[in-house]
Amino acid sequence: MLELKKYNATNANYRLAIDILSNLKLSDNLDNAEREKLFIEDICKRVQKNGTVLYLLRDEDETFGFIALSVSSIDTFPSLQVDYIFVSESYRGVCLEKLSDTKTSTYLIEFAIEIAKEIQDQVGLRYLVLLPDNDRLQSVYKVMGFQVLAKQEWMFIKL
Amino acid sequence: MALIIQDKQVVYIAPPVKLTKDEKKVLENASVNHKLIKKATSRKYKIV
Repeated sequence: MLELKKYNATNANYRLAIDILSNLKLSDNLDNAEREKLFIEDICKRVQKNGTVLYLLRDEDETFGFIALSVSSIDTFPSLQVDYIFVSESYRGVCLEKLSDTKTSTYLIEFAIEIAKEIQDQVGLRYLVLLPDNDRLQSVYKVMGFQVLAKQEWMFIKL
Repeated sequence: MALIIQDKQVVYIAPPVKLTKDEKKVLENASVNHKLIKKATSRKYKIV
């Protein structure tokens, strides 16, 4: 059964990064893998400090990736921020039947939209925002529906 | 993503706190992608 395991300050401990790293496959490229490891360790520390909430996408057999979300604002507009999104190397760019023939990254972004709409309904929210790591990812996020914020590299979806 | 690496350290990047008039216009005049939101919110997500 497909599920999103939620980690926040109440259930995350010092082993979180170890557990997550042991269940996900980093990039084959060693430099990229090292960057990913640093990001994941940092994100897990932020989870422990209540700075972000991490949702690990998995089923009985596999762990596909995760998304980390936090409350933010862009100028004065309340926003939900994608702190980090990670897809296991084995599942990158692949539409999975288990995810309704959707790519893991798309599935996680759509999940973030669902969370954003729930927050919007409860307390008000205007945008889902993220900062792509590179130009290639910016193109990927454009296809998903994100718009570029003028000269800034930040991207957003209006809710 | 809001993390970058500088000098082998992870650095957190916050969204801009002050936008230009043009940037604000881009934000405020953006259209809502109802099709995308409907697709995203019609799926059942099991959070555990």
